[in-house]
Amino acid sequence: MEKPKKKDKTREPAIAGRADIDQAIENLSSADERRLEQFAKFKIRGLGRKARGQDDEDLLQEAITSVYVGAEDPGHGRHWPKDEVEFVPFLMGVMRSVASHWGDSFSDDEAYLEAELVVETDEGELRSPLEDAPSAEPLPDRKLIANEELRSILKSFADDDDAILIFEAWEEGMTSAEIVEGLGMPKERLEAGVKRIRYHVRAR
Amino acid sequence: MANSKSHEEQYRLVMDALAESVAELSDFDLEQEFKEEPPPRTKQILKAAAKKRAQTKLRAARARLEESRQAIHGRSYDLPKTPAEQRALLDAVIASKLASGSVLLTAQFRDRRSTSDADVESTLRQLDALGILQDFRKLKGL
Repeated sequence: MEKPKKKDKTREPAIAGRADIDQAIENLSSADERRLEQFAKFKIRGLGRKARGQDDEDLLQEAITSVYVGAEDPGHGRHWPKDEVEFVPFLMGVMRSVASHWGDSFSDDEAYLEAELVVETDEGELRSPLEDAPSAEPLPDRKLIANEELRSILKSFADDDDAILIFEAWEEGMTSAEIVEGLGMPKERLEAGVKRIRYHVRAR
Repeated sequence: MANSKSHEEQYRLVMDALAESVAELSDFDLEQEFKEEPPPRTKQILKAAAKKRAQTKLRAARARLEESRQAIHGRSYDLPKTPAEQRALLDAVIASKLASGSVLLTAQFRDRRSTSDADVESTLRQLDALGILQDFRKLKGL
């Protein structure tokens, strides 16, 4: 990734135009493409049903559309200050914002799609709780489904103390820096543990 | 570690942490970790969004143009009947606007003798739709 120029606080930031955005997309390296793709995938997994059936491609497209809108309209969309922030971190920031908006605008009363209820059992089988649910009973709570997913992932790290500690720290909202500083885990062990968790979750 | 958050919130936090972990990976580590995966389609996805937006804007512009065409053609106009009278009216309006310094002429209208009758009528319709003919008539007491 190219380094952004130093910020000149005496000037208004230059907002990227359409041609700048087109060029930034064209210039994406394969690593940047992968970074944006995986970032979007994990954000969507985290949203669960709050994504309302939208996937990682929808998140990427919503984010970039917002940047294009911002390039043409000072009052709307997201404005990329191209000399201050690189394109990839900026687009990830927009995705954070869009995902957060999707999550906030979701009501817990919204109907479930059956596909959203399918969970993977400890034996690796996909199962829909609807298959066993008598019609008169209420639908299973998403909270229970999320818990089943979390426990299932955690169970696979039974002998990996670092992965368990990182995972539980994440569940509490701790950042990588807080795990290193607060829990005293060396950075190298943190990175290795995160890599094992990422590999395992991606494979599920 | 005691958990104080809902399971849904914990699940989101874990996935968000994994997203951030990808954001922080070096290019080399990313390439290594995902080398077995099919190539990413991110550029293609982003370009498709840009194209879709451009098409949406084009459709909206066409709809606006069609709307204004309909507005001009759909209404009744109070224009002189003959081409000669229409040309005289257009000349008078333009002369009046030039005299007041409130108009800039395009090259097309600098020599109105070369303007077709159809263009003269179309221009008068547009001036009428804009209220300019009405203002002119009021000014001249017509």
